Amino acid sequence: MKHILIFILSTLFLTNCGGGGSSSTSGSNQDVDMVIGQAYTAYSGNKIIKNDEETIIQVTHFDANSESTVVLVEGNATIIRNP
Amino acid sequence: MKQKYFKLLIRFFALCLITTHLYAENNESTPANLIRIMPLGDSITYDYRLSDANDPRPTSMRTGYRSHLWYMLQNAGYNADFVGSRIAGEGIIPPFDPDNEGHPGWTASELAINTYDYMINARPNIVLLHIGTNDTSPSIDGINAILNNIDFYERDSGQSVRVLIALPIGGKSAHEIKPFNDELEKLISQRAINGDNITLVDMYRTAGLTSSDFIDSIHPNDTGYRKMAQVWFNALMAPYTPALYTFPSTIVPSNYVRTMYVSEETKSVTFTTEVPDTGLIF
Repeated sequence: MKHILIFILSTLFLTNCGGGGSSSTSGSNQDVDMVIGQAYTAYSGNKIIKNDEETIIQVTHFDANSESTVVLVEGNATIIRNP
Repeated sequence: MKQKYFKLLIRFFALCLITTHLYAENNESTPANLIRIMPLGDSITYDYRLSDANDPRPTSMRTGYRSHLWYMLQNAGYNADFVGSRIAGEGIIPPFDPDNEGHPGWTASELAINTYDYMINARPNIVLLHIGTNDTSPSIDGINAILNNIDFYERDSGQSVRVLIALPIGGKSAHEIKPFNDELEKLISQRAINGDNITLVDMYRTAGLTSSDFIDSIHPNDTGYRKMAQVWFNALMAPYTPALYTFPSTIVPSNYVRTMYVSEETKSVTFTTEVPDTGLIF
């Protein structure tokens, strides 16, 4: 009985320790206000909306990848991670 | 015993003969793997110099980039058939396929008028288009009309045509060529995004032509033509990944895309786009 208790407590302890290190493959779920010239990763399902009428984005996409790299060239935009 | 060895020897030679025959058959050029390439353009395709107006060279000696490209393709084992209604360069040694559709002095609009007929008559698989040197305005309407007529041919014939279109060399000053090339790059990007099998060949920048590569103010000399041929050759040999060209249209309507650059080397596409009111959706 004692052994079972130790085993359960150990498992719970190790599980909690591991929890802090996990991260989503789609990056942070926080929306991102883009800064001109800064590169960001846009994942499948993300959306970029403009906050200025004239907003230009540069997108680089590799054929083998599902994600793209995006850079704000002009204007003002936000990456919506969970639209 | 001797008879047994004799039979084995006969079988061995028979096997050798069959193997040799099959090898020869597999390496024989057949019409099925022939690629019909149309060199389409103006004097730079046909090979006409300004000095030819007063002292014309025989057409049999005019080759432009075509002969050099032909030799490169042959050396690479590429089974090419140059096609077109004109013949120039048939006297060159070593011989090459002198068929072409180069029309000295023509503008893009003039070429566009006849493009559909050229396609119908020659049925090319690939078009190498170098035009715009004789156009005095930065408008690319003439080139768009040529490409429209190739589209009409594809629609009517059911045949697909791959178009390699060059940013043209020669005939324009630096301040004239910039807006023309910018417009042309934009046009080709839009067409590629919309599914045209079209590739921009940056002849203007990558051929590396210097003033010593020209025989007059417009036309390259033999060294210049060899450099041009190398650029065409590289473009023809490069892999083609349609998905890269159409990727932008998967996240934004194509009319919002301003520039696009595809690298077959790194298998990537980089483009700039305006953000529509509906946003970019990845």
